[in-house]
Amino acid sequence: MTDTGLREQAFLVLTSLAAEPQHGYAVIEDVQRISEGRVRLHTGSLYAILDRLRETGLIEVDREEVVASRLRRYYRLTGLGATRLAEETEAMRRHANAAAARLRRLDVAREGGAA
Amino acid sequence: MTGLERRYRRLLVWYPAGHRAAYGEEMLGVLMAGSAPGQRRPGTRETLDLLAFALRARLRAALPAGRSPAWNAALEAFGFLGCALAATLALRACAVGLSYHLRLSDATVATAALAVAWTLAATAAGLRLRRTAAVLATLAALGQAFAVAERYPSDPVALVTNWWLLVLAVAAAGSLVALPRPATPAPEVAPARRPLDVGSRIAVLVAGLLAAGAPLMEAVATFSGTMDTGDGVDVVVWTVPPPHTLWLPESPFGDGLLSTVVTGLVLLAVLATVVLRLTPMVRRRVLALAAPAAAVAVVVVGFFNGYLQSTPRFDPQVYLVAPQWIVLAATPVLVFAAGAWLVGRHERRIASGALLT
Repeated sequence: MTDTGLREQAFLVLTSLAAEPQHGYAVIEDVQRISEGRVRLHTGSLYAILDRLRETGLIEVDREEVVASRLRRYYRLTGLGATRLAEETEAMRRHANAAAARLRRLDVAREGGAA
Repeated sequence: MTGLERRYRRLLVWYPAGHRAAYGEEMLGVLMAGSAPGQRRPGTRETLDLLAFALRARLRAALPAGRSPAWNAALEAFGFLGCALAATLALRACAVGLSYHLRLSDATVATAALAVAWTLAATAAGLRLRRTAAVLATLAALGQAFAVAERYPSDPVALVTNWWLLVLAVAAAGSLVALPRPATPAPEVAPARRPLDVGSRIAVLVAGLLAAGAPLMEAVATFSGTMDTGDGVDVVVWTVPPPHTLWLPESPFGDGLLSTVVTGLVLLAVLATVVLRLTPMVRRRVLALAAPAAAVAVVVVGFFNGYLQSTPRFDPQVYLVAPQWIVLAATPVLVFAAGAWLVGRHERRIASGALLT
């Protein structure tokens, strides 16, 4: 995916945070769930994405908690992040519609050719 | 603290201090939460993922303007050129090995594996498959480091003479790893984002292949038969001096065969032309990225000559001492830092000059 837009992993992280503020491990599990097991983020990749999304102002820290002596930082979508996710979703929808329309025409043409 | 946590902490040390301060404890929590009950060691994929992103974070931290279009263009150009040069040298080493013995020796097989990895990395970089090129180049650089380390106990001289090549390998792989994902360029920055045109990339790869294949072509052209050395090893015998080649004295290009020298010069000319065609801002940065390997080559000739000459005469081998290690390790880092600083200073001066006129 080029980058006017977001790469798939970053898109899925934003999608995950669109539901509610989440901490790192919850994001990993949620992304796996959203992608139906196709995308499994590792910790290094996740924090590279979170760092970049924070830098670009698409997400921010919501709160911090200490659970079982371990730091949990929750992230949430910013207004800019929500706008960007909406734009990206709309762009993907347009692309998907265009692809579906062309595939339908292709099927019709094939059926016509076969007949 | 459990053994697993200690091991994860050791892996996190590879991240820059700033990144660790911001995310270290949090990442540790995620890593521990994701571990299986009774797990004692980090998984392979988790480990590689952490190391790859730690290296990337370090490289980004090391480049003061790492995200500027000019630096990104330079990283892309140098990543490709460095891989192409490393591929050429590895392929040439294979060709030399093949021309001395008709079959692949163990050493030639190891070199061939490196050559394949670098060639694939250079091809991927040429096709702008950024992530594939970064992974392949990193694997090739690790292989190169392993090959040098493995030879060190029996042949410490090889480590010193190959150090520049290792620095080149790390710089090329590092450039590709540090290269950010491709952005859709605005029209005005498009030339800087695409530093090497298709013709330049093809020319570099073809010239590299010619230079790499020259020893083998010479050997085939002048082949006259093989000779059993008595220990079951066949050595190729050439019709020397063949009518169409000339032996030259020991040359920096290899075995002193004229065609090797000519193809080496052609490759250098192609590389020089390609670099000269870059925009000045990108060219300066490419030279800053190439400077560490070049500086190491100069330092080895200048300061390690005595060691290189005398060590092979001693039995047992004389190994490098701490100050020599420090020189080898510090030279590329300091030269790159100085190069990046000089580039920045030069351009600030140009900018301030432009403001005054």
